[in-house]
Amino acid sequence: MSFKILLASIVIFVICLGLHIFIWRWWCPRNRAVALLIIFIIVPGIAGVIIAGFNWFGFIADVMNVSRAGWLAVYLLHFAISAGYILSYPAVEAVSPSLTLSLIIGNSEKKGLSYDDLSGYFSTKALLQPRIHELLEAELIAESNGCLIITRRGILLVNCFILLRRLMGLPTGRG
Amino acid sequence: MLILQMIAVRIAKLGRSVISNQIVVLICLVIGHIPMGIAGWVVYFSKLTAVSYEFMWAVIYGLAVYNALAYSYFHIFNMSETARRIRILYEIYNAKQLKISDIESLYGVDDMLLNRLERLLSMRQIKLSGDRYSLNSKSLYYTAKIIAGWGCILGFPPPQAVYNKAARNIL
Repeated sequence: MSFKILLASIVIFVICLGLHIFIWRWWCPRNRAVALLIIFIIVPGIAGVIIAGFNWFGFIADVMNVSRAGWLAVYLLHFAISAGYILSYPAVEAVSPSLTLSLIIGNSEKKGLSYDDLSGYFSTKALLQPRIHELLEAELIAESNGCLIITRRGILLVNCFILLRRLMGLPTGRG
Repeated sequence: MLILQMIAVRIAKLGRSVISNQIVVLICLVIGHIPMGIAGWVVYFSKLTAVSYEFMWAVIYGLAVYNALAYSYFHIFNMSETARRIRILYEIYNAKQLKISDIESLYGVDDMLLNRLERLLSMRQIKLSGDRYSLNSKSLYYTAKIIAGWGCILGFPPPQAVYNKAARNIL
């Protein structure tokens, strides 16, 4: 294990982050979860396989002198950091109510705010409709005769969460 | 990790603890360093001949991978606990089909806010004095500021822009 492995993982993550900022500012993709997976997980994986292939056939020199196991270690750390980022990303885009509450209460300084003051900042439409729109875009739900129905992909996802909550002995349907 | 959390949640429930589920997960993730350290020692560190730079970088690497994956798991659990999208999916899954107005009545703003205020209180991020909520810890407040700043870099409007419009109507 060497410093080169840590450095290579961080450099690859920073490159992916730069690509992500560039794409988001230039043209924000419709299905952003899939776009993040492609940018952070798939592209570096494919690039790694191509570079390893070129290196195997002697077309390019291994400038970093890292073994194949070392490159797998680089990808594992990059994957772990990227997974953390991808899972944190919805809080950036979706204006998390918990974080917004912290900001509102924090900005009120010492005097604090009553429940009525806080509820005035939020409306059901503003909180729910963007999320419903995102679920429709991600094809987790679909619209049929003016009603929302869950798709197979949605059922799979919701069952994963139900399983997790049941394993923990916790009630389902929170949020 | 999952086994550790399954045990901890059940102990917390038996003891009728007021600790939030998120705090229980965070405690489990911290304790999880012990089995990870043991596994790392058995698989790798015990084979190293002397304490060297290689040892130090391996420790940093192991900690970075474990903590990044633990952080990812924390977010997955947090989604099951707080995410509006998962709650909406769950409501539609249960009812088979729903109109948007049905979801709004099932999952109103009061339900959403009371859930979150209760969680922030149990995480000791905010405190309730009389009928007024104020900050108890600034950690989530600064996290919210960082996330809002990152959103601006990506080209999203700041959360203030979303709520300030409503704020002008009440203050």
